[in-house]
Amino acid sequence: MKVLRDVSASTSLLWLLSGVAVVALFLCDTVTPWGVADGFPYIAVVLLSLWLPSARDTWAVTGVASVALVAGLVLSPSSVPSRAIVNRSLALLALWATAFVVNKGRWNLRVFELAVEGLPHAVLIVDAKGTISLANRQVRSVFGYEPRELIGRRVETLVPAELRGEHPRYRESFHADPVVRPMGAGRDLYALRKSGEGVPVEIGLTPLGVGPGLDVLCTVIDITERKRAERAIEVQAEELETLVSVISHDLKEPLRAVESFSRLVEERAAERLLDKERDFLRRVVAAAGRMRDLLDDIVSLSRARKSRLDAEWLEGETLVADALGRLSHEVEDRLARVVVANDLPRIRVDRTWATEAIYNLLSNALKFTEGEEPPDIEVAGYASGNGDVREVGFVVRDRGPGVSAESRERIFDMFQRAHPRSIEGTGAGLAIVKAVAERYGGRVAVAPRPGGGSEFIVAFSAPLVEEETDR
Amino acid sequence: MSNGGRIDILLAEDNEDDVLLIEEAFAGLERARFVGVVNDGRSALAFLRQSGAYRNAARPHFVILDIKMPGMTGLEVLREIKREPSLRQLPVAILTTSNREEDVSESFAEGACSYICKPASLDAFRELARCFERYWTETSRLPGDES
Repeated sequence: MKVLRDVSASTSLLWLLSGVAVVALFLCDTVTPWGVADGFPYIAVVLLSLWLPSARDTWAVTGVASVALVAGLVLSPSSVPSRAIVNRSLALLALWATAFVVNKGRWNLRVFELAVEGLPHAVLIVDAKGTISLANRQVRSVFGYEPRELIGRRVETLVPAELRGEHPRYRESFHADPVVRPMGAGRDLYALRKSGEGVPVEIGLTPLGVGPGLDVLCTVIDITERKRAERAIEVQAEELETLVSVISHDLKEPLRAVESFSRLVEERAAERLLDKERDFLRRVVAAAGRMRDLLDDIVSLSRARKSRLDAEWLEGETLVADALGRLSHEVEDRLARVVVANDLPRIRVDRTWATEAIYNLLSNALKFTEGEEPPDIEVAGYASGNGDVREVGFVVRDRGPGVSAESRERIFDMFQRAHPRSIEGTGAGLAIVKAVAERYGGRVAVAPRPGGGSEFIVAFSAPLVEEETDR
Repeated sequence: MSNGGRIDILLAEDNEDDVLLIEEAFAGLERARFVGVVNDGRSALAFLRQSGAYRNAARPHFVILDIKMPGMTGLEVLREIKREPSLRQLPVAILTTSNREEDVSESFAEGACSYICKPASLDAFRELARCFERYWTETSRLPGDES
């Protein structure tokens, strides 16, 4: 099937042909003794009318053929009357049934053509050998070619030069498993315009029909605008991140003045103040301190998301030991019991940030206890291999008040606190853990610990994990 | 090993609040004191050269510079100091809010002997002053100290 056709010249030709056919058949029927199969051949003329422009034309042809058929009944020299009447009636029926089907067919064809031309995307039909057999008018805007320039050419014309060699193989693999699907899922695809420049595209593939020689319908969408919008959003997000970071840094300066001078007043004027006034001053200093912690956390979180990450193979034990080292005072002060399992994984990460993540989890575990009980903490390895997703990391278990089901997602968001204000902390610790994990394609999660408390999982995605056999 | 000497310091800092805090932090020290406080780079150089309004300025043993100052930046002052034969041996420490890697490298490249980020709290500032005094009066010798 070709490009949507030019109508005018061929229509006159078709009418001529149809007319000649009808006359020829009529003459055979009435003049010769052959009987012309009781008029069935007129069906061919009706079928021919598929290429005439409208349903009315088909009805016209069918009407004329019907008249000729009935006239033949009367005038044909060879007919056996009874049988001829039955046969000719059947032929008449077949004629009109065919006309009906022809009109339906023409209608479907028209709908298809309008749909293909009406799409805001380029549509191509490519046969099994890779030749383009149909192109709609949008190929002009997407590829820069006129539709007729593409008919008969190989589809590789539209593939960037560096991928052209591979492309026939991709086509073969599609034919091996022809299923409606987007092309190159997850990859950035580029097509080659007539001018030689590349255009980013999204391509959908639909097999037409069945069997090895099938054609493929390709929808090609120019996604230049979409990519530009995506990039603009990315840029905006980066700028916002930088803004937040700069503001936080700059705010620390006046904050230093607030905190320090309040402290100085506290020191020098304590005796001259009433208890209540001393208390006010104490609150000023405390609030300034909290603000400073908050700003530090914002800067820390920003860096966790953006700073350059090194990577080296590290034993889990090393990271945990580093983190515990920084917390040795707290562990002692709170008389905490910390058990480190021996199934810690070996992973390839940035040492500073991985340690920071574990440090934050341990710091929380030390802070959150039920009542007066000393912290009871466990650190172990974590691995999960369900389906395609392999992840490996650490789990830190505490005996704190636990995390309610509604808060389980929320607590990893920036500055969300799921616990009372009596426990210090700005709520950025878990956000930092999440940021670090996600930079390695991993995730964080919390679940209840058997026997009370919570277990926090920080997992990194598996390509960073050394296989046992490589050791 | 202790030189038991005193060190007189020139401070160049444009932020009035920080000047006050730094003076407060160093106030409790016995062997380190400020003999001059200026608010911009040109004044710092004039002070060191004992020129113009600073004709009778004391000669400091140590210079503490902020980076961000109006007119000449701390790094430009540092460069000038290290260029002048009579001032070259002055130890210069950068005391600043900036934590940027580039500023640290540039400071040391220009000849700073120390780079300190301004601490956030008064207590930390005082601790900083104490450490500073101990290091530069006990641990390290300085040119022209009285020992």
